[in-house]
Amino acid sequence: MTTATLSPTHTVTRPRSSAARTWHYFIHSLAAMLRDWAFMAFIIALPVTMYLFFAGIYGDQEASGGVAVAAVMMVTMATYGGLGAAMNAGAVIQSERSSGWFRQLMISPLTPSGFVTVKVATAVCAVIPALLAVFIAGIIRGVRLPLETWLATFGVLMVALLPMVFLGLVIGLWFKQQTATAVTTLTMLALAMIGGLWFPVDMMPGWMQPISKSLPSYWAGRIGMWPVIGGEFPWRGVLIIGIWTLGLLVLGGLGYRRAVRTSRR
Amino acid sequence: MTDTAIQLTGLTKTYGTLTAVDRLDLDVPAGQILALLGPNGAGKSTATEMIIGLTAPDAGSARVFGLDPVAAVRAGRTGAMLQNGALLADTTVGRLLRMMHGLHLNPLPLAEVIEMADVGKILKTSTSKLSGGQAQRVRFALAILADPQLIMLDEPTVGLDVDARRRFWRIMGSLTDSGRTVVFATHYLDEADEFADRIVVLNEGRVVADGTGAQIKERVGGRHVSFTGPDQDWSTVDGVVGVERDGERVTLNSSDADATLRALFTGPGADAISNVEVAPVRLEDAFLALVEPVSREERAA
Repeated sequence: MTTATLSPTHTVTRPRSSAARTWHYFIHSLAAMLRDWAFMAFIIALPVTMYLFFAGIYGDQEASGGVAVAAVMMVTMATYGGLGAAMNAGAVIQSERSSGWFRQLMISPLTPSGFVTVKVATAVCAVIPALLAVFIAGIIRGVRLPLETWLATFGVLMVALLPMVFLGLVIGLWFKQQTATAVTTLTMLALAMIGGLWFPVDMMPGWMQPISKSLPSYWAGRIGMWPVIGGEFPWRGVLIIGIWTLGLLVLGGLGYRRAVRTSRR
Repeated sequence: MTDTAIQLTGLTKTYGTLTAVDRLDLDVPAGQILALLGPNGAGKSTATEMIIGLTAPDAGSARVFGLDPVAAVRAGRTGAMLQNGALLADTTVGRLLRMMHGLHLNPLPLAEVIEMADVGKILKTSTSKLSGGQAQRVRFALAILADPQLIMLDEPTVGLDVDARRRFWRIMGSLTDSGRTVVFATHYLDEADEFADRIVVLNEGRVVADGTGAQIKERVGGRHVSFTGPDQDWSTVDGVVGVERDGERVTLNSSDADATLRALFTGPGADAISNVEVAPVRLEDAFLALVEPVSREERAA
């Protein structure tokens, strides 16, 4: 390669392992999301405000099992916050992918699957502040739980909300960018409302209850409440969320193939 | 190690009924500065995308330094500036460059890239608030981060004013001096003539001419000889390859201007000829002459 000697011959040498470089990309994506104050305010302020408002009205009543409504509502509003964070962060993945920036990103050692992995991980991280913010609001409102209950609630909610990142991603894949934002918001509101995250499902008309109980949002809320109110673990919810996850992965795969066919990548 | 930077063999890409790139064969030796010249829709962008692995060919193959285009990109051997390439929104130029720098295996030191691309003053500027020229400098910085041996530029100076364009090519010049291979797509003909060692003219996905700027001009005649004279058949005069007439004014397209002038002034009608001018064929005319017959043939087909 005698014809191709460089004038600046000293280059930075990095380990050949792609893990370190993918981690670098993850850290940058995460920092970019945290700096997006409008997005962070949206995913934190809305559930916190709604929690403080509803808990102010009903919070002092007692729910089934002798637990204060303020505590149950804290979990369902945290679920709602996490749902919004996951779906919106999921939708952002597709908007970045369909913008020309993705093409520039692909002229680097980053692979398409590396991109999606990092972006899904970033979206999952968006759920954390949404949950924590509502938990803190709960503490301020006087909710007191043992440490292991806090940790268990946080843990099961994170897992139960993970598929909602794919829901955001799927909406991004199947709708145009302008409509995707509206569809994401509407879907999120429907899932929250019908899934009983704002009002208990018992308050809804009887015909709606089977619909509610087929939604992943309802079961995410139920699973999140389990460490707080105890009783039998809602295994049925694991099944239903599992079915939704499979369905979303199939839709995602089809949407991705369609996107590859219609836009040049 | 191979001395061929790019090797295209029967490269073909169709979109629906449109054949964007049609059985393209092209070898680019390492160290060459090549211009892909052609009108809109000639297949320049599609060919570029296949060379950088963004688009997979329907038939044929592209090899970059003997590697698959995607492998060459991941190894940092190819850098590219895309046409109107979008930048990541809602971040600063500095953050964007640091993020991309961390992805590459053996990148140039970031400080050096910043200096070469002249983006030092806009590091804190948001990517959505850049002027056309500034954005182009950022894209250029992204293209050279990996210390690539091959730099692909898809219409790098489109939308830039004359100053910014000159500035861009001055920066490019410093890079090409280091022996890298540069391929740029353009429809600015002067740009191709001025900065490229070799011009490949594309039309409808095919190569219609391949050579230096001078050779391409020669293919359609080297000089325009124009004068005021009688209406007669001038095409038989020595060296003439084309005749145009505009009122009294005759323009002869000549491959040998000396022979043409000698024939004109020694011939029988010499007295009737006045106001003679000799001018080089503009690359623009050469370009049109190359592209048009193909289009006509296509329409007939």
